[in-house]
Amino acid sequence: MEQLLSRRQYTKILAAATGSEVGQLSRPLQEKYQVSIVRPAQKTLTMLQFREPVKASLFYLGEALCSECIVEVAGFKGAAVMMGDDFVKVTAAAVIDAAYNGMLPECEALDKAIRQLEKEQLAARGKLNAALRRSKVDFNTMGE
Amino acid sequence: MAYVAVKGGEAAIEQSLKLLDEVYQSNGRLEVQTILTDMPLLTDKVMSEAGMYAPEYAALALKQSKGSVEEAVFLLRAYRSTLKRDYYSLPADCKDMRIMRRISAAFKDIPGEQILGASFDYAHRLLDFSLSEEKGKQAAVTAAQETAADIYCGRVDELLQADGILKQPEKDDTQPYDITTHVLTFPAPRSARLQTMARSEAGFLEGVAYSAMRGYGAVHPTVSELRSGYVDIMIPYPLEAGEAICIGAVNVTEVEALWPVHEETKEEFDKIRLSGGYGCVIGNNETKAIAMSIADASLNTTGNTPSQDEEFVLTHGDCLEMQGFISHLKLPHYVTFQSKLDRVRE
Repeated sequence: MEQLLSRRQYTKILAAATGSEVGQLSRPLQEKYQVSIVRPAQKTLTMLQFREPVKASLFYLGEALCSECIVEVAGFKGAAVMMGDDFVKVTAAAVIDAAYNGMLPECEALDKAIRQLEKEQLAARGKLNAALRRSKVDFNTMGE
Repeated sequence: MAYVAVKGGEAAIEQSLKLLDEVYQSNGRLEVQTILTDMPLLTDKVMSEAGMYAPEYAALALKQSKGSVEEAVFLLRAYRSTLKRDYYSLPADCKDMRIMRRISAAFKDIPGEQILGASFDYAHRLLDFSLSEEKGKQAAVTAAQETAADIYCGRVDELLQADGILKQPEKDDTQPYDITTHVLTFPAPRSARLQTMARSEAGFLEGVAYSAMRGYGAVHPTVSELRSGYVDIMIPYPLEAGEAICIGAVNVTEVEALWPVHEETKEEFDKIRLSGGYGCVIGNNETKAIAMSIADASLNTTGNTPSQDEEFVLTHGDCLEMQGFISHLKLPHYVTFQSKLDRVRE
């Protein structure tokens, strides 16, 4: 069995997905297991901490509107925090997180589906990236 | 000076609020999503000055405020105050940015190349009347057939550090000062300075930077690098210490500006070294980010000009505070003005 995606990896892919995509990924889990809501989806703020290069010091750029949710699936807790206010998406992401925490039998298929979603995300950005690369500039200075 | 409250006027105030919809009538066709997609630079400005990354809410605030940026910033700040802040991100770094645009005014050739991206820099400023007739125009980039990977690259300053021209700073992990929870005192920590300027009203900060370059200051830097794009935001995983999760990516603009400074050392009477100024703002706000880097640089010099006065720069640029203080002058001041009149008549 291929090594499962790390938490950093799958949360990044899920955060970049639409609500319906994340909902679709969690549907098999929601249909099979009883999902208990530990902390209902709610809005919250995350302070964005950045490091600047001039003095290599830290500062706060501002806050981001986020949603958070904690659930329990088959005795395993799962949590999700995501930018935006999509409660359905953040709840579905918490269900997926619980599945990873519990290494539930659906995990392998889930992991494959999330990897596929990442490929689709990269492909969707591919055309824009190509267009951006076409704006690569090479200025000539006078006399060259 | 004491203020005297006024009372009454409820019916007139209620009618005045109703008139906002009457006088500034909407044809009902402007959807929040349209503002978000068609006016991204405007929503970015609102988010930047509100200090809150929430594109949909910034667009909603603009719709509600009939296009007034200061009202939209007020709405976002007010809404933000109703929410709990449960999370602090792990330090993000723009060197890990997924690049949408990246240029250098200092070097022609930089590793990773210069990507002009979407920019008005070289556009002819001619009104395009065809836009009046435009209906559902497709973006030109959708015609591209080839695909390419995401663009990531290191910063230009790493080149200068490798050459020994620019000193590599030691990592400073001091917890940042938070101006949203603490009163700003002077001299302000660097983190407070950067946070304040990141939320500053763009016009104010640009005025400060412009004055610094025109002679009311001592810096005229070169933009070593300007980059904009998306930076992933990680926070500690709520259920397990030591783990981290990604909550999404924020669109930011970062500028690093360099200028030569003269210093006296044991070895050299007039040694020239490079110094840096830093700008980083939410969204695509290039002029503001450059202005921030100039203001940062200017505050590192000594002198008597406004751009070198930390208290002046940091206490007069907040959109909400400055607009609020100026706007309060149009509210009833009958008693205070009467007392002024009395003194004039004496």
